[in-house]
Amino acid sequence: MATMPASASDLLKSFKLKTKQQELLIRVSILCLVYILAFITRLFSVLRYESMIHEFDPYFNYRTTLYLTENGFYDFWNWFDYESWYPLGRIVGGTLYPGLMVTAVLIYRILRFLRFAVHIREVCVLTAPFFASNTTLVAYFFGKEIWDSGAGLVAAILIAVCPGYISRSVAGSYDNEGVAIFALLFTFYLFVKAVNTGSLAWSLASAFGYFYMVSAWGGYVFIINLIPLYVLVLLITGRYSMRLYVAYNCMYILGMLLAMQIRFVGFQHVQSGEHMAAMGVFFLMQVFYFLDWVKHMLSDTKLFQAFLRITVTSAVAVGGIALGLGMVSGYISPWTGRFYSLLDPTYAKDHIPIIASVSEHQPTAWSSFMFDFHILLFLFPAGLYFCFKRLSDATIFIVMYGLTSMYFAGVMVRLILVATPAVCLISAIAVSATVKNLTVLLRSKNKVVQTGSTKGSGGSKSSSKALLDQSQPFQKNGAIALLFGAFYLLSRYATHCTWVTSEAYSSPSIVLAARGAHGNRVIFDDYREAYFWLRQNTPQDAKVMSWWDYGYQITAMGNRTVIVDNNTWNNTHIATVGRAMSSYEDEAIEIIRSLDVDYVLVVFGGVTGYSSDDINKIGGGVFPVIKEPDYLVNGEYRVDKGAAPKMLNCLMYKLCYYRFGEMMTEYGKPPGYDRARGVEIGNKDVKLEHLEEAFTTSNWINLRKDNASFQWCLSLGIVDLALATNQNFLETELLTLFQAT
Amino acid sequence: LRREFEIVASSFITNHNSSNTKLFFGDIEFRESQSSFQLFGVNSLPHVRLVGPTAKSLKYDSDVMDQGDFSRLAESMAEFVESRTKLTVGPIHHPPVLSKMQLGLITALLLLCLPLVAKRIFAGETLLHDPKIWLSGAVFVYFFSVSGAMHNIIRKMPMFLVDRNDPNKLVFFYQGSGMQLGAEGFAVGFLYTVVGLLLAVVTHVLVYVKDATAKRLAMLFTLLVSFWAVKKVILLDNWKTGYGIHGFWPSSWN
Repeated sequence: MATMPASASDLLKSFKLKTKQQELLIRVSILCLVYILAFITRLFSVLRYESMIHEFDPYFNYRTTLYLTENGFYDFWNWFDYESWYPLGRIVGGTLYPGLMVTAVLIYRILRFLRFAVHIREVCVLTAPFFASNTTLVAYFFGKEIWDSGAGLVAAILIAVCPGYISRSVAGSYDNEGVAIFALLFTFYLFVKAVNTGSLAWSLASAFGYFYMVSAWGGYVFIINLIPLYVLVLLITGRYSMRLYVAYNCMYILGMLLAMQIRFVGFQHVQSGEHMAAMGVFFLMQVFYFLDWVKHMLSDTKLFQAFLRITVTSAVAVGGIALGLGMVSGYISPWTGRFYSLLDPTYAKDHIPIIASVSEHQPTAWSSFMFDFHILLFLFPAGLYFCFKRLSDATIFIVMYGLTSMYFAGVMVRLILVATPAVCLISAIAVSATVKNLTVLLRSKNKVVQTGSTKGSGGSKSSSKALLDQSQPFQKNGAIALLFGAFYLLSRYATHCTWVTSEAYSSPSIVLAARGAHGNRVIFDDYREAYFWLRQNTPQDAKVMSWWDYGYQITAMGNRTVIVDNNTWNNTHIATVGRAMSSYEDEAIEIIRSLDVDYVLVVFGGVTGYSSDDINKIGGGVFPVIKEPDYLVNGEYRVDKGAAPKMLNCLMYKLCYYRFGEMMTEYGKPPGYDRARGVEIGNKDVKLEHLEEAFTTSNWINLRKDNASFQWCLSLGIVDLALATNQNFLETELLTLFQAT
Repeated sequence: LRREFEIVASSFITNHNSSNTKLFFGDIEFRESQSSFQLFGVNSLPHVRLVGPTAKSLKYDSDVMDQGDFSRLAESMAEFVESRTKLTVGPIHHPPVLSKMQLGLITALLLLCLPLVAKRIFAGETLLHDPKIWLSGAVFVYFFSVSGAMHNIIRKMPMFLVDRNDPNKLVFFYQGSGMQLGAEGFAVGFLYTVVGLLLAVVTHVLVYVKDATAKRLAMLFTLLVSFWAVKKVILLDNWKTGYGIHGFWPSSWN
């Protein structure tokens, strides 16, 4: 009997872990929980509606993925799509970034191999959350590389719920960014690891990471400019070393060769002005290596100084002359409009209205930053300060990444996504260092020299060393209070992120919901109703004309040929459609017949003002016969009696308001009251001569949300008139009206 | 806005070589000619108006330029004139950013400083070598981005607006997400940065202070100020965007 307690306590002792094992257990379990959290927080829309693909661009990606699963890689890579951009067609293989589709199909094949009978659509819907979870893991390792494992854990937690990232990676958002942010962070991590260790293996891995990034997203230009800039800064601050040389050379050469395998990128790495910085820095590195070798060989410093001056001047001169020759002869193309507008933000507004009109490309107001980052904005400067205190190759990198991405995020709302990993990492450094200092204080036992710490509940501060402070108990209490403050702050952050995800970023945009009169939820599935009607009731070779927003969805779900779609690569073609929409019916029918169109699709939205600008400006940009002032009254768009005559009789107006004059839309108002614009329409008696109404979806209830993230699709969804032009077929599709309840 | 108007006027004159007298530009000062304001029926400023040759009543027959069009300043005014009167203003001659005098002065100063700067660079003691400079530069870049200054520059937002209902009041903060005014951006950016600055002060400067009470007071002050700053920003954000952010509790708890 006496041995029993001994063996029991022995048994317990054998289960007790050593400290290192305890720490490992805690870390692994935190990472697992964060992994799961990142996945499930993106599932709101799947739980509320169903598992479907959101918005517009993802439908194109889905269609190409379908094609890839059915026809294999070789056919996909050489695919010429004759069903979009009729009659021009589109070379799909050469105009897309295949990374996303190939990844999804790979996952699909692996699951099928393991005998899970999934549909490719489910894989597509859940690809983005899966890669978001992987991003948290990469963030952990990156944080560990920059600072320590505590910072890595905090970084993983922060990035798992950060709304800036969630906005483009919810379940259903099957778009390049979902995979690209993972590739971006992964490439950066591998490169920083290569610079820190100087090992060839890590450099090669970073080259392959870069290849994956190039295959996934056009934003790889950010990487190929940030890394050379970083190398340049290191060279200037005198941190040249063999590790840097190995890392950058391997990554650049191998990465460039691999990137050229993507047809869309082609030879841009040697021809485009956007990639010249990388090449310049590459040659500069060779010069540095050469100088280092010469210094090693020579023993005379004075001679070396002279040699140094001559070499550097001549190298810079030769480089400058080569660049100048290249640009003058046209071999090196200048910066394209999309990226040039980042350097000179006022460029797009004046010269390229199509780029300036997308609501994602607008400059950012501070409330958007606050919406997407919340308290990380306060922690960011604190983290910057910490990084400057402990300058190393890795912290210099993260500071540069943070600052450049924040600047670009200020120029364009969409780029908040690229800034998110940097902000999370830097804030994580601040949080981790502060919490560490506070807990060290709490756990210190009667030490003579103590570290005091201060922390604002709203921000975070570092510790300050105080000499012999007698009031030890107060310090402990202070530290506890501050820790509670930190905990409170982070919990507010989590609440904010969850709310934002649920309310703002989880809408599929193709299915809409509103609150009915009794608070019950009403769902509008008009888009899909319309597309399936098209699919089932029109001949197989019918051609549909609509505004370019809906092109992808029509081809993917309606399976019919369209005239223009979201790729917007041919401005003149889009302008032709715009011209048809804005002209009188007789002129329009000419254009419609010349394009061989059978059906015209209209989305009757209530959100005017934004998209009608586009149709007129884009049409007018190419065809001077369309003059925007013709449609305006006192500078604004009106649809009531006081509207411009051209507006009242243009094709779009007539198709939208066809028989609208008979509708009673709101109790107490006259028939034909446009609830979105708040006026009674001017031309109630719309007669169509060449076009007939074919189909109208059923809903007239209105819904409007003010969220910035919705504006781009709602406001663009103004009016596409759907009219069939041939013979007796008339199809008008009036989808939902949008308005405040 | 008045300067932009002058630019349009002078461009018109130079482009037409003072020969075309079909269009002339004028401006009215409120204090001097209040009755003229009433004649035109002007309610708010800024106000740009075109009176056509066939207009009988100044108030009703003239075309008012929309407030929203002011964003592109001289170019939009020129377009307005062209669309209403079918007369072309021609290319707008913007005065250069720095006048010739200013440019000359700056060049002279630079030349004077050049030898001094060169000497210090070679000695390795310039400002650029101090990490604090880089830190303040970094904080400035952060401040610039986060306060939405880019948005103000691109959209050319004014520093403040006059309240529509009460012309004596000034509106500094724009209610509604997605847009902001100039002063608003600076205020919010300042609130963000003050938290970081206090951190730096506490960590570095305070250490050298000998008096323990002073140290404690300073830290308390830092705590209170940062708490207030964060609260202010969050309140402002909630007021501006109108979102009611709340946690999701199980409905059975209500």
